[in-house]
Amino acid sequence: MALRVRERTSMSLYERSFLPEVVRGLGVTLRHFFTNLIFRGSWRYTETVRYPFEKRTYPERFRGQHRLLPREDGSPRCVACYLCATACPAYCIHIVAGESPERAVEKYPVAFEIDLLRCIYCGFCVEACPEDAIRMDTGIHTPAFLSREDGVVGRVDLLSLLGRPQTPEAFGAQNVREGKPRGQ
Amino acid sequence: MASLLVSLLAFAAIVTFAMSLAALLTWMERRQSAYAQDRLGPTRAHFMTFRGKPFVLFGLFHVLADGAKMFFKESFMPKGADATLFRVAPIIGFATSLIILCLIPFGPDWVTATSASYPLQVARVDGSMLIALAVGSLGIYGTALAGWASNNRFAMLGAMRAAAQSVSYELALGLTLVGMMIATGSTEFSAVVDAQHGLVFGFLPNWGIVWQPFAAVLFLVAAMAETKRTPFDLPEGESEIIGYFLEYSSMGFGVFMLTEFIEVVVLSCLFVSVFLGGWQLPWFVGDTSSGFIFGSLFGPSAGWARALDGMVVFGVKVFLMCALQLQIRWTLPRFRYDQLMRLGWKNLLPLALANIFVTAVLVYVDPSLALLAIVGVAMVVGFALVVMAGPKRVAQPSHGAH
Amino acid sequence: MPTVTIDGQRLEFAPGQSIIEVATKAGIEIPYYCWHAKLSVAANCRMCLVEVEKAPKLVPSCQTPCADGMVVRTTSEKVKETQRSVHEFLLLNHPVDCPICDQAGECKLQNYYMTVQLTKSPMREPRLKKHKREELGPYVIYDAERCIMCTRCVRFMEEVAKERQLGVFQRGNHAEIGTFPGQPLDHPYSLNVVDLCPVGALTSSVFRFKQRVWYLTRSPSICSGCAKGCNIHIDQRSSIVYRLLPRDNDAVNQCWLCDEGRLTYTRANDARLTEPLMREAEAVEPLPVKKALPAAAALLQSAVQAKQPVALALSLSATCEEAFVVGKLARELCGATSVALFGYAEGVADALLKKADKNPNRAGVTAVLGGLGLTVTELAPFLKALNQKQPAVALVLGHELTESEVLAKAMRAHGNVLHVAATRTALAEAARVSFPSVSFAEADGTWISGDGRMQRLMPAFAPTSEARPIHTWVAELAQALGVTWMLGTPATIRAEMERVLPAFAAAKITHVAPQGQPFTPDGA
Repeated sequence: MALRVRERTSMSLYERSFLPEVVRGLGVTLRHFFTNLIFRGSWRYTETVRYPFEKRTYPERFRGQHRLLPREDGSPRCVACYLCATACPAYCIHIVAGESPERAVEKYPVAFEIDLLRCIYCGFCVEACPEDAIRMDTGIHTPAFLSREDGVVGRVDLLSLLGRPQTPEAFGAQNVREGKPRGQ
Repeated sequence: MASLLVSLLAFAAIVTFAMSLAALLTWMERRQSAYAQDRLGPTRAHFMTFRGKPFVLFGLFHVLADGAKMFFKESFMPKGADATLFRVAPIIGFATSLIILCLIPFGPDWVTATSASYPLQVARVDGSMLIALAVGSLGIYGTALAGWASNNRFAMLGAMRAAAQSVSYELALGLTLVGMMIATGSTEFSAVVDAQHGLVFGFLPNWGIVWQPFAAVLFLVAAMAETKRTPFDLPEGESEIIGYFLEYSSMGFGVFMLTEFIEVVVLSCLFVSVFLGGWQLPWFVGDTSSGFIFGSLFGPSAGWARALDGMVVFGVKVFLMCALQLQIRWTLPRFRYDQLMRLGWKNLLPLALANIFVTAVLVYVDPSLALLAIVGVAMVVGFALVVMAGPKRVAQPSHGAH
Repeated sequence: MPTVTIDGQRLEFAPGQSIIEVATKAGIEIPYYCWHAKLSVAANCRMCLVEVEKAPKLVPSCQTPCADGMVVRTTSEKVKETQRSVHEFLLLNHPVDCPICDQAGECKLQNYYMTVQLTKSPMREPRLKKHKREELGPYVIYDAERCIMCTRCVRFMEEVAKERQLGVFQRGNHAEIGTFPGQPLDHPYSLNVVDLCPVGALTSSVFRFKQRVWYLTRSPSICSGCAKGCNIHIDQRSSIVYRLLPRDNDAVNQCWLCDEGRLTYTRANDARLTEPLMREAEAVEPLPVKKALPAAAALLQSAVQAKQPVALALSLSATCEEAFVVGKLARELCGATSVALFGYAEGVADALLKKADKNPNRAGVTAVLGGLGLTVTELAPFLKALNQKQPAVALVLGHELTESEVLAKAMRAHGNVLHVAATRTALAEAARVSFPSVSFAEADGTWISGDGRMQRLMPAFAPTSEARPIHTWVAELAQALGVTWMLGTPATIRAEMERVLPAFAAAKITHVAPQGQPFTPDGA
């Protein structure tokens, strides 16, 4: 890695005297203050979305709560290879592997638990999965829990979740307010 | 007896004014900062709906909600804290701020029909400017003791910073006022206010800021440092040490917060009295006035109308000064500690001293203060030219711009 | 010495050495599958082909002996291209089921794919379907699709185990490893073929799917299974031992380990005593150390002050350090002249590794106690004394013995027996106070094998419970009785042993490594 030396530029007397710069800064904040105070609608700089009442369209690749994908017979696609648990930076995935003599693939997860309280929703587990067995396409936010144990989601619950259809409404959008470009 | 009664009434008036303005400032701080930063600010607290929408009244209920929250929180004292000092500390800063308020004339003398005159000032004492400085410097005991009594190293660190900062800036604070003392020839607030009546050059208000614009700026900087608010909030430094009130909860903290805002009000009162002509407004309220609201309604000759006009003018000026301070607080980032000390000792102090000498010479040469006013106006114009002619800069892409 | 030039390095060699041996010793890596230093050369994987000057074709470096003046290139374009092609060929029918393969993470196919191949499979045809999950024997499971037919396992059974239980069946693409009808792979050394298998074809049914190998932390240790003192690696994660693997030591076990020894990993995990126990009448209750230690000390003190005899019994699995501190206690505080020793019953020895003596440190314990001037006895006199209530208090240190029920019965009948053990057995239930001790995986100590080799046990992890080595508990008891030995750590004990015991000074116990060094009881 090349070492980059960044010259520290010394300030001119004009800048060091602070006052003109302070006045300039006040000019900026006052402009915003009065614009937002006086005007309404699109003249405002403000772009606040009043979250619980208004929601924006989530991007298509929004990472919601995880789900396990089933095979045709309903058993999880997961083969308990531990790659998601290995990739997980938060150590929130707990797998116990088991051997099933009757199935075509002999290894399967006896337990597959995700601690949603630990999860940071980075999506590394999805990236790591060689079987496309775990996805984060449910569009579900982490729910609130009343106890730490509730935050641990097991194999059965993960399997029961469904992916969402690819429509704005399905992404939880209500009272959608389209954003406008910044700084107008 | 009557004068005592008037003093008590005046005290009640100024304290009510300061307290309610401080409470309002907690709301203004949020709302103003929100608008300056393209946010909405407080919009949630309400207890009823109006036309199907929550009745939030611009978020003013947040002040009440805050107060209620403060009251009902657990009052906690850490193990090993000095119980007495821990409880007393918040009161000290609060009390000293109120004492300074007592010295401020917030209106013209109330002349009754029987020609009895009552000052709209709780205490008209000689050298009240000096007393204000003296009492103001006692306020640091509150913060220092709070930090020490908390038995917490971060609180202690905050207290040390507060003490160092306070000592550094008190000097400049006092010295910037000397110029005005020389110009007005008095150290008493009401005399200083009275000296600022009339016009200069026939069109400018004859205010301290015209004679002493440079001192006004220095005073504002030093005084803001005394209030320990951004950009001088190192004693709090909420992102790293939380500050001297770290261990306070409930109303203990509430008093500190209130004190902070009362200090803003007090500072505004001082600034208005010394540099902005106090309760006077040329052409309207003052010796040559035609009356303002009440004066124009009921005739300027009525003593009570004139007094009320003065109070209104004073209140508006103080409010605007508070708003300016809030705006500065939400414009500037926090100083680094070495920058803070350098500004205090190497910039403000020598400049304040220079201001004293220049003012003294100008007043000696021309006791009518005209020369002082000319120099002051020239400085303001020069500064404006410098700002306008200042280096043009290429707009740099801000973070997150796309 | 004759020399050979490999990749520009002039290297000396002994006549008969192959190119790969010389190169590997010099740190030049040549990829290989079928070659193994302790097995005969098969040269069938073709991964180790190198370029030799004046040779018309590439030669297998495992099979080609070095000749004086030979010039070998292992990194030329030709070699690299060949390695890539050979690897492509080996992976042609590979199922790539790494997610469910236990070998993933320590698989040569994975490693060499990354270093020499990195191309897509050219296979257009459907891949060959073969047997999967075939149980060759009680411990070994075979997956024919993953097998690359290096025949290491076949050669091991033939040359080292000396019992031909495996063979190659079918030909060409269809070739696979198998057992003969009615003759499963049940040799006592069968799990070695799992180590030998460079890919995931042979997996251990014991370790299977228990843990991914990249989570395991490896540390050197000594097998506790018998007096051979085989060198092992402990693979553990979060203080749970998942498997034991042989560690190379030509003076002891070369690179082999018996199945019996491998399965002793459970001793570090199962039924551990995690906190002191105290027995009041018939109720056995866990007790915090703060209370258990004074209770035990008071018991011991009453006997010592009354000059009543105190009897001691020590496990033959204890380390030399533990034996030394126990010996000090016996001599200096208990006034005992002998210590009873107990251990596992005699087993069956074999020609390869196994010893009949199933106790890892009989030689060490005997040497230490003998050096301290104590006589060692069998367990029988101790049992007799216990039953006759002769000693007022007795200490049973360790739980590693076969007929524990007899001892437990005697302990329960006596009533005032202190016990230190890693595992919660009937002994812990029978003792007045039991203290948790460390397993071999947590122990820092020295064992002396039946062949007179002193080897160091390195702790694989710190105890997660209240478990402490026997010497710590004994020293704590002595401390409570008013004697401070300053023998807090194994290192200080070893230093003290060198000072006191000439045999251990001569063998330099403070310097002994996991690799070990010879030890003679008379210090010669």
